[in-house]
Amino acid sequence: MFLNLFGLGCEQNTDTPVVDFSKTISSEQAKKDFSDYTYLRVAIGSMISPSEAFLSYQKLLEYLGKRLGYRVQVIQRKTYGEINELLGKGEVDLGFICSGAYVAGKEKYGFEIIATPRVRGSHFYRSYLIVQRKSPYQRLEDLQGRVFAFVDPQSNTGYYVPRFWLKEIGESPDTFFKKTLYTHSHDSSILAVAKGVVDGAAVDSLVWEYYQTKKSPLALKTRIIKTSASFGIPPVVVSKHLDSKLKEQIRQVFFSFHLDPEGRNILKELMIDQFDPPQDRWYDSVREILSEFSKEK
Amino acid sequence: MLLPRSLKGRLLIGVSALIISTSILISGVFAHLYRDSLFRWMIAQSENIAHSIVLEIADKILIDDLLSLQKILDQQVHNNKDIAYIFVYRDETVLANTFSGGFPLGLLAVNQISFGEESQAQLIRSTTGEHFLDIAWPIFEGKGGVLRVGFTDKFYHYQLVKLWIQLAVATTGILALGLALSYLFIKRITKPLNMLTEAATKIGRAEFDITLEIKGEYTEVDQLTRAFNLMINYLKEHILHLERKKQELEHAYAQSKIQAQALERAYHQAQILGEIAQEIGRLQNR
Repeated sequence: MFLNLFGLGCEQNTDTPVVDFSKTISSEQAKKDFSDYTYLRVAIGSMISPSEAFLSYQKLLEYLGKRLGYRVQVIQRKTYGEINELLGKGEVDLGFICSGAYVAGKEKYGFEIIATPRVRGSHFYRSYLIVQRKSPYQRLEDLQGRVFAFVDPQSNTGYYVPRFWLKEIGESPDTFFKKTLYTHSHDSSILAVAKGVVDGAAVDSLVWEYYQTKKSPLALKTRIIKTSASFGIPPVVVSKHLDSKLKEQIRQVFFSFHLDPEGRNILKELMIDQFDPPQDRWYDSVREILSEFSKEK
Repeated sequence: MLLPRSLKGRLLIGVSALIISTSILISGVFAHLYRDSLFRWMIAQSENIAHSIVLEIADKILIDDLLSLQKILDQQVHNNKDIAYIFVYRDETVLANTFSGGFPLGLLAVNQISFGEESQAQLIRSTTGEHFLDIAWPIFEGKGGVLRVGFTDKFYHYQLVKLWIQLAVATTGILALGLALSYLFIKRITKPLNMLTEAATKIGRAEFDITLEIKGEYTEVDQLTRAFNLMINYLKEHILHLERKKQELEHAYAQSKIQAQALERAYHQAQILGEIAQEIGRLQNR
C-alpha cells in the first residue's frame, strides 16, 4: 500500500493479461484462410482517395450486401489499371470505375456495364480545370510553365481531357508544363491545388461539386477556369466471370435502390438520384478522346 | 521507550515526529496523484500516436499496399523508442507486424475490440516481467482493420523514479529546514523557562537581587516572567520590611534590657540602702 501510495508499485494486478512473447508463429501462419468464405468482392476505383471512398461507399455496399445476402469485401487499389486487371481476372465481382477506365478496359478485360448513376437528373459529367481561388490564372494558357496534376493515366476527366485541351492548342504536357504529377484520385488533386502543391489540375465535375456542396474547406479554396464537354458518367461494371444469375440480381438491386427508403437515403447522401440501365453510346465522347491518343501510340 | 526528561527534548521529538509524518503523507499523496495523472497522460499520448499512425496507414490498408504499410510500421518503431511493437490485423489476419522473430501467438487474443467499438488501452505483461501499454485502434470502426501499438513502460517508470528522487530531495530539505526552525523556536520558548528555573533556584538560596528580562508583551511566557518579577519584588520588599521590624525589635529589646539593668541596679541600691537603714536602726536601738 505504502509503495502504491508513492507510485513505485507497478500498475499490474491480477487482471493484467500475460503474453508469452517467445511463443511465436510466422507472419504467413498469422494469416487466416478465407477461401471458404463467400464474399461479394466489390472494387471502388480510385476516383476519390481510399479513405474517402471507403467512408462514402460504406453504407451503399452494406445495403447492397444485405439485399443480396452476401458479405461484401471492399477492394481498393492505387490505380485504375489495377482495378481493371482484377476485374479481368475475376478477382473482383463488381466495380465502381471511372469512365476512362471503362472505355479503356472494356475490350481488353471484357467487363460488362450494368448500371449508371443519375446525378441531378443527368447521366453525364464533365472535366473541370481548377486553380487556387486567389491565383491570377484565368485560362489554360496561363498555366504554361507551371506545375500541373493529373489524376491517373486512365482517368478520362483527370488525364485524357486536359491532354486533349493541350492538343487543341498544339501543346503537350511535357513541353507546356514545367512539371506534372499523378495524384491517383480527384480529391487529392483538389487538395494539391488548394494547398498550392500544384498550380492547376483537371478533376471530375461530380467530385468537385460533391465537395463544394459539402462545404469542404479545400474545395472552397479552388475555382473553375475551364469546363469540358459532357461524358458518360462513371459506371458500375461486373466481371465477365460473374455468375449470370447473380449479375441479374445485382442489376435489380441497383435499379430498385431508390424505391426503398433506406436505399433512397443512402443515394441522397451520395447525391445520386437513382441507378439506371446504361446506354453504351453515352461513352462515345470518351471513346473519341481516347482514340485521339490511341492514334499517337 | 525512553523519552528525554527535558521539556525541550520532548517538544523537539514531538515536533519532529509531526513534521516527518506530515511530509511523508503529503509526499505520498502527491506521488499517488502524479502517478495517476502520468498514467492517464501516457494513455492519451499513446492514443494520439496510434491515431496518427492510423491516419497514415489507412489508405495503404484499403488499397492493399502491404509493402508500404510494413515500411511505415517499421519506421514508426525505429523513430519512437517508446514503441515496442506495432501490428495491423483485419478479420483475425495479421496484415503487417514489426516483430522480427515471428508474431507472438497469444498477442492477438488480448485487447480485442469488436466492430463499432472505440479505441481501448490495456496493460499487458510479458512472461519475462516487462509491461506494455497496448492500444487497440479500430480503422473505420474496425471494418478496415485494427491497429495495435505496444508502448513500453520505460518512460513511465523513468518519470516515476525521477519524481521519487525529486520528492526525496525536496522532502529531506524541507525536513531539515523544518527541524532547524523548530529547534530554534523551541529554544526560544524554553529559554525564559530555563531563566525562571535558575531564578527560582537563586530565590531558594535567598538571593533576591534578580530581575528577569521581558522581551515581549503578550506571550504567556512574558506574562509569567512579569509575574515572576513582581513576585521577586514583593518578596524583596517583604523581606526588607521584616528586616526593619527585626531591627526595631532588637533595638527595643536592647533598650528594655538597659532599663531592666538600671532597675535592677536601682533595686540593688535600694536594697543596700534598706539594709543600711536597718543597721542604723539596730545600732540606735542598742
